[in-house]
Amino acid sequence: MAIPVLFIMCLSLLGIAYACWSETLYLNGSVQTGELDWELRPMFTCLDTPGTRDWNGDCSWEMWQTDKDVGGPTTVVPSDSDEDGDWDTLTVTLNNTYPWYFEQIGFHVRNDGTIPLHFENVTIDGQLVSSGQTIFLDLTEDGKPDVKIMYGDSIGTQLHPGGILEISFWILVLQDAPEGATLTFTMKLLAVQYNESIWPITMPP
Amino acid sequence: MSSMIKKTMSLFVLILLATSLIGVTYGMWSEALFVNVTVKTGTLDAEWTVGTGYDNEQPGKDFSNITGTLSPDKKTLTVTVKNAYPCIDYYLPVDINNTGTIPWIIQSFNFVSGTVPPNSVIEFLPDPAPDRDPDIAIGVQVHPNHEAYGLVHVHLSNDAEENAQYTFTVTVVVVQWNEYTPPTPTPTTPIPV
Repeated sequence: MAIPVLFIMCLSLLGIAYACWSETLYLNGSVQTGELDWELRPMFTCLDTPGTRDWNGDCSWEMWQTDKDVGGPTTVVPSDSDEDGDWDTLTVTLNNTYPWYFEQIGFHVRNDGTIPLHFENVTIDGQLVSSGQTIFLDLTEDGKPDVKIMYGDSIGTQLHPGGILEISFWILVLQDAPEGATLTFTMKLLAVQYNESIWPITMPP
Repeated sequence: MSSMIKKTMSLFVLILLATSLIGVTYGMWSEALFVNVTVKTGTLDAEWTVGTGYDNEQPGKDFSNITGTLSPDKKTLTVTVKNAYPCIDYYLPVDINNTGTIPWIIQSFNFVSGTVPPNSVIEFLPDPAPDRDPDIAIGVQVHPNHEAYGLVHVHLSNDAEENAQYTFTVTVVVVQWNEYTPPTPTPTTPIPV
């Protein structure tokens, strides 16, 4: 008598369990991140193009065009060093220069990413520079500066996707530059996401 | 035992904090653009070339002569007048060549008369050959692969002694074309020693 009762109880228990109505909700999360990216864009400009008379300058950044085409021509060539489809490196070469030879390099940068960026800072051979600041570079490491650079402006500017900035800098060859030499330096322009910059966030125009 | 647990918990929390801080720092997105600049400087260089000397000794009286020899680097011109005597004019054609890549201008001559007797003359004269410009003179500009022409003129005065050896030095300084400073006052030519 006890066995059938137990059997019925077990079945009914199982029956209740199976019969319990249920509903499951699912949340499928997907986070698509944006891209922080900027690129070099034309126009790439310089003063000493082929057939152009040289420009000279002096210590106080006074410039004048001479009556001679001795130095140059300057070449400005963009390249895609990381092969991600946009230009990230600009190779500038000044030829047959001499003390007081002056050159101005200009180019554009464009935010080709999907989030705003801040033009955070500029370093020249690791030396942090600010807008309008003149720095002297001893490229031969003989204790005497060989070239003088002045970076233009736009540091701290916020660029929205598609936004473009014009950037320029000046180069002056100094008296202690050696003859027949090849002097090199690297300028690094750093952009960071707009909301983690040291510069204030601005609204789009 | 409870102290040990507290220490372990504290350490764990600290590690978490440190890791999250590092994570935030590395996590900031950034993108760098580079401008690689190369400045190639030119060269400023000058060299002498020398021709065959001559003088104004009368025909049949060619007893003395002027010659010039160059040092291996062609920076030094040695002028020799042999068997010289007073009142003869000796001429040596010379060029100063721009062998660099930048124009230069003759900034200065420095005549050091040394032991040359008084009232003698040592100077640069214009090149007598027509259609050859420019002449060697202060302020003359010479472009690369071109030259300035002239004559070294030596004239001994009657103060010269027999069997003597006189020496003199002339230093010519050229400067890059864009840093030439005109002398004031302008020196006269010829420059007596």
